[in-house]
Amino acid sequence: MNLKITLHNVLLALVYFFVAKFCQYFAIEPGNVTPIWLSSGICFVWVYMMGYKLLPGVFLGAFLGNVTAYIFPIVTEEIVNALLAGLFNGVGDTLCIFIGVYAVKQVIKENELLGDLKTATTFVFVGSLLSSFISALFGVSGLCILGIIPFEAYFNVFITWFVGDAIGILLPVPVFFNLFINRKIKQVNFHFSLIFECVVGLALILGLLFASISTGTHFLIDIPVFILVPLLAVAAFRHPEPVINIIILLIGFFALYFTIFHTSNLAGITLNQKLLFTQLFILSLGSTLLFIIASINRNTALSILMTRRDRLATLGELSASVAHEINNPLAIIATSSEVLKQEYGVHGVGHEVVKKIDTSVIRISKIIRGLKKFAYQDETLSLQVVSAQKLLQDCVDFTLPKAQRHKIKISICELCDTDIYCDELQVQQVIINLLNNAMDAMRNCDKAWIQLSCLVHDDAIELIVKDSGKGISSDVVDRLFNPFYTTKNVGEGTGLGLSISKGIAKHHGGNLSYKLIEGHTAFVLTLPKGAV
Amino acid sequence: MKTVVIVDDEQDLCELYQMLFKGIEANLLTFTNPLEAVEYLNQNQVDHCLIDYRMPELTGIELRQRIPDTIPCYLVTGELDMSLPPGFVRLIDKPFGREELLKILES
Repeated sequence: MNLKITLHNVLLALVYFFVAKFCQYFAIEPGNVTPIWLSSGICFVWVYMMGYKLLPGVFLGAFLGNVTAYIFPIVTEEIVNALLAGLFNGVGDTLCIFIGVYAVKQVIKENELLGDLKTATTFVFVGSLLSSFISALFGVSGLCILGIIPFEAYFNVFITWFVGDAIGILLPVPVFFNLFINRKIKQVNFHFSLIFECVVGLALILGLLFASISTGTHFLIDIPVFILVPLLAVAAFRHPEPVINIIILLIGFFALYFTIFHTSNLAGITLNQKLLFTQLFILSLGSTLLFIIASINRNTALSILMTRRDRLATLGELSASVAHEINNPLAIIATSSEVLKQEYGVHGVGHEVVKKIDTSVIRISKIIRGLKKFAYQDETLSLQVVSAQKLLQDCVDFTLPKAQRHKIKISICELCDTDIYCDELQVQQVIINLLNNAMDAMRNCDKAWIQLSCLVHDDAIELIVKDSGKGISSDVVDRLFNPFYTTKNVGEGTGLGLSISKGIAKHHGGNLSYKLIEGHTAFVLTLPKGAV
Repeated sequence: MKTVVIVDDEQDLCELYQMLFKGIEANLLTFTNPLEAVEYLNQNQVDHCLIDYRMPELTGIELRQRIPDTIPCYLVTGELDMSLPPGFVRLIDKPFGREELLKILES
C-alpha cells in the first residue's frame, strides 16, 4: 500500500471518528444510538472516488468511533466487550460501504447518481437501505450479544440504527456527488429568485419550529411538515439538483435536531417513537425527492438528445433544399458566361469579367457541395460501442406515442444481445426514420405491426425493420433512396429521410436497403462489425 | 441532322442553351413544360433527350417512364451521390456546355 493510500486511510478514519463524535451528540437512550450517521455518507463518497483500498480506513474509523462511545458508560473490566462491539461495528460498516458502493458502481453512468431511475433506485434501495440494514444487523447484534444493551431494546435500537445509517447515506451522498464527483454545483446559477426562495423557505421552516417550541403549539408544525412534501417536489422542478440535495440535507438535519432537543412536533408518546417517526419521515421524503430529481434528470437528458437529433435532421434537410434551389440559378449564370465567351471571343476586358464570373460560380458550387455533404450527415462520426438491444429499445420508446395513436404494435423480436460500434445518435435517426415511414404507410391498416430484429453475421450486423405491409411497388422501389422523392402528401415528407439514412449507413461503411422478407416490407440497415 | 430535346423548367436556361448550341449541327428543341415534352416525344422521332431531374410537374425519372424506351435519355442533375436510375444512358452534371453536347451527338 503506497503512502497516498495510507494517508487517505488514516484521514478517512479520523474524519469518520470526529463526524461520529459530532453525530453521537444526538444519541438518545436506550443504547445511545445516533439517529443520523453522517460518517457512512462521507465514507461512501470517499470509497467511491478512491476505490476499495480505503475500506481499512472505514473499518478503523468505525471501530474507533464506536468503541469510544461504549467505554465511558461501562466499567473497566468490560473494556474487552467494548472492543469486541467495536469490531462488530467495524465489520458491519465496512460491509455496508462495500455493498453500497459496489452496487452503485454497477449501474452508474458518467458519475450521475441521480441521472436515471435505475441508478437512483439502486442507490436508495441497495446503497442506502440494504447496506444500512447489514450495518445495523452486525452492530446491534454485537451490542446485544456482548450485553451492552438488553435484548428487549433490540428492535428499537436496530430500527433507529438502520434508519439513521440509511439517512446518513441517503441525504449527504447526493450533495457530495454534486460537490466533488460530477461537480454539478459549478453549473448552478445562483440567481435572485433561487436564493430568495431558498432563504424564505428555510426561514419559514425554522421559524415554525422555533414558534412551536416557544409556544408549545405542536399544531404549528404538524401541518407545514406535510405541506413540505409537495412544496419540495415543486422546488425540485424549479431548481437545479445540487440546491435541492442541500435543502433535503438541511431539512433532515434540522428536523432531527428539533425532535431530539425540543418539544417534538410529531405525534408520538416517547422520544424514541417521535424520533423514529421523524427519521422515517426524512427517509421517505428524501427518497421521494431523489426519485423526482432522477426522473427530471432523465427527461432533461432525453430532451437534449432529441433536440440535437431534430436539429441535425432539420439542418440537413434545410441545407439540402437550399443547395438545390441555388443550383438552378447558378446553372443559368454559368451557362450565360459560356454564351458570352462564345459570342464575344476570349480577348479583352469582357473576357476578364467573364473569368471573374466563372471563378465565382466555382466558388458557389463548392459551397453548395459543402451544404449537400452536410445534408448527407457528412459530419465526424462519434463512434462508440452500444448495445443493439438498448439502441432499438430507445428508438421504440421514442416512437411509441405515435404508434399507440395509430394502433400499431411495435415489438423487438429475438434478443439482440450484441454490441454495435457506431454513432448511436445517427443510427437511431435511421431506425426512427424507418419506424416513422412504416407507421405512415400503415396508418389506416387493420392489425398493423412493426417488428425490429437484429441479425449477426461474421463481419456485419443487420438491423431489420419489418412491417405488416406487403411490399412496395416496383416503380416506387426504384426511386426510394433518391433525394426529394416522396410518396407522402405535400408538407408531410421532404423526400430526404431515406436518402439521408442511406448516407448515414454508407458513412458507417454499411448500407441501407429494401427487402421483401416473408412477404413483408422490410428495410435492412447493415453495419460493419467491430471498427469502421 | 440529329434532333436533340432538352427539358428543363427554367425558361432562362432553355434560352441560354439555344444561344450556346446554335453553331452545332443539330436540331435543338427545348421544353420548359415536361408534359408538353412528353406529348412531343411520343409523336416524334428524336435522337437524344436531356432531361432535368427536378421539375415541378414531373421529375426526370417520371418523364422517362412516359416516353418510348427507344429514345436515349440523359438525366441532368446537380445531385451528389445519385445512383443512375433505370432507363438512362448516364447522368450529366448541371450545367453542361458545348463539349458535353458534342460528346452526346457523337455517340
